[in-house]
Amino acid sequence: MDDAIRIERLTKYYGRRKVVDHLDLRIPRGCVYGLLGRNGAGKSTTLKMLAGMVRPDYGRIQLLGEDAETLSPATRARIAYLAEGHPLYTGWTIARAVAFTTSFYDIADRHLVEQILDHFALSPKAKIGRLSKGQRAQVSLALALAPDPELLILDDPTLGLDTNVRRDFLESMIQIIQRRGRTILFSSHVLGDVERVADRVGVMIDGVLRVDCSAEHFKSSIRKAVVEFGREPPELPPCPGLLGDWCVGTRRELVFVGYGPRQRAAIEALSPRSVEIVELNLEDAFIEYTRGPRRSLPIFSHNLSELQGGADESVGVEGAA
Amino acid sequence: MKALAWKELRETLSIAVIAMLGYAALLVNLMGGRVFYWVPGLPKQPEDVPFVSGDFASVFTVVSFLLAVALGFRQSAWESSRGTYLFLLHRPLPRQAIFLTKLATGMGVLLFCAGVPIVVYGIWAMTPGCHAGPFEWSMTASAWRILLPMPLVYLGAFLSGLRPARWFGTRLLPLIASLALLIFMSMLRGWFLVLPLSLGLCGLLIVDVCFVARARDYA
Repeated sequence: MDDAIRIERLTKYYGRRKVVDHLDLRIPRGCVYGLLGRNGAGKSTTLKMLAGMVRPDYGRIQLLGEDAETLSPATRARIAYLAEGHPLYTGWTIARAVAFTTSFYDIADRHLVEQILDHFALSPKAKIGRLSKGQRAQVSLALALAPDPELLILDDPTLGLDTNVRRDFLESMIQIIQRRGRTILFSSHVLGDVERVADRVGVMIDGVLRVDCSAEHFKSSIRKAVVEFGREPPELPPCPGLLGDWCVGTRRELVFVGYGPRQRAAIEALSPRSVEIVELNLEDAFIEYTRGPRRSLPIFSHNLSELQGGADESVGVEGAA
Repeated sequence: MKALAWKELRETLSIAVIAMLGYAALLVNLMGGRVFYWVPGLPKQPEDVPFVSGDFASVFTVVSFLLAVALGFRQSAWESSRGTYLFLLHRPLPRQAIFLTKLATGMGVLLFCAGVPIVVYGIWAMTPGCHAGPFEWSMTASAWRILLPMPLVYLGAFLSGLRPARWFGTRLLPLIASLALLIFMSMLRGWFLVLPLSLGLCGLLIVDVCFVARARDYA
């Protein structure tokens, strides 16, 4: 399949700290990819490297089939980038920002921009400096969509927005997705939003991409077992896929990547009073996955063709005891 | 590109207006008007021989220097501090073209703002009845010599604003170096040295700006 984004062994250091560590990622055209991770995981740096704002120390990026290092202006015109915090010239009016932005593109759909501004009830005469955070996000989105880009890179686009504005923003995103062939890569901390719009998710931990699969696959890969003992819980012997292990009174909460017969047998060997297997939503799965002491258990979907019809996915479990 | 040049012009307009007011105050005092006599540092009476004797050169140097520094920082450090480079640099233009447009606009503003008072003062001096004394345009050479290395200061300030170093570290080095060069060139005699030296050093600084603009991270 034709990839909109192809990243190979992307690495970035800030001083001695490795913020992105040998990142390999392929995002096919038409995919909506949600990049997740806790603060400082390397998401923004990765997106900035894709947008050409930060130079990688090592590795290669291809955007829409062209090397990012030597990206031509024509290809850059097909890519939109929304930076975190929506930096815009605060002294400008919206109309001036639209005129400035569209002047750089041969194909700039001013009508579409006006439609979006109208949809968000934004007056072109309004000064950007006087807009709220949410309104600035809306202006940024309108400006980004002006050249009808094929690839959108959005760095935490819903940061700081209230629920209504966020929903509006996401609906606009979904409309974009529905246009054929649009690819979106976005980072977010609002897992509910990611779950609503993303075909695939990636989870970065300490600069390393640990998860790259569909949201459904990620959720189904993480299972939480609440094991009640009615007494001091015994230690669980080494078990493959064990991500986290917490003692809460007389029960033990165990989080697994890839829960199956082996894990069940290991739990039953402890003679528990009851075992409850909890299915997690994306947010809980993300929290359990990233908070555990053993955050090195990767989950990858090796078959990217699932976007076209749901093929097999495999769970890779490395480093399991 | 035109839109970018207009943006830079609009953003530097306030600095240009302030500088022009400074030059205007200087000229008004030198032309005998007693409007800005209360401003400290400005000459209180006309020069005996325009451009040659009097305080034009010293005040003109200070105002031009401040203008060059303000323009350089306004165009580079201000964008960094507001994070607007992330918006600007994603436009479909080569990064070099974006920065060269910025530099060309900034230098144009500097040379225009600083050139106008020399021309206006010269026209006043040559107008019969305005000044009791001879005037030749060649007498303006000393003022042009002051203006000639000012782009170096502008480029030094621009580079200082652009470089990702610490303000209390090496960040101001380009500006300090350009100031040293300015002093050095003011001690040189003859156009034949100042002109090529200014042009050569400006070329070097422009190359350096383009290099830093390409190599730095806009994080």
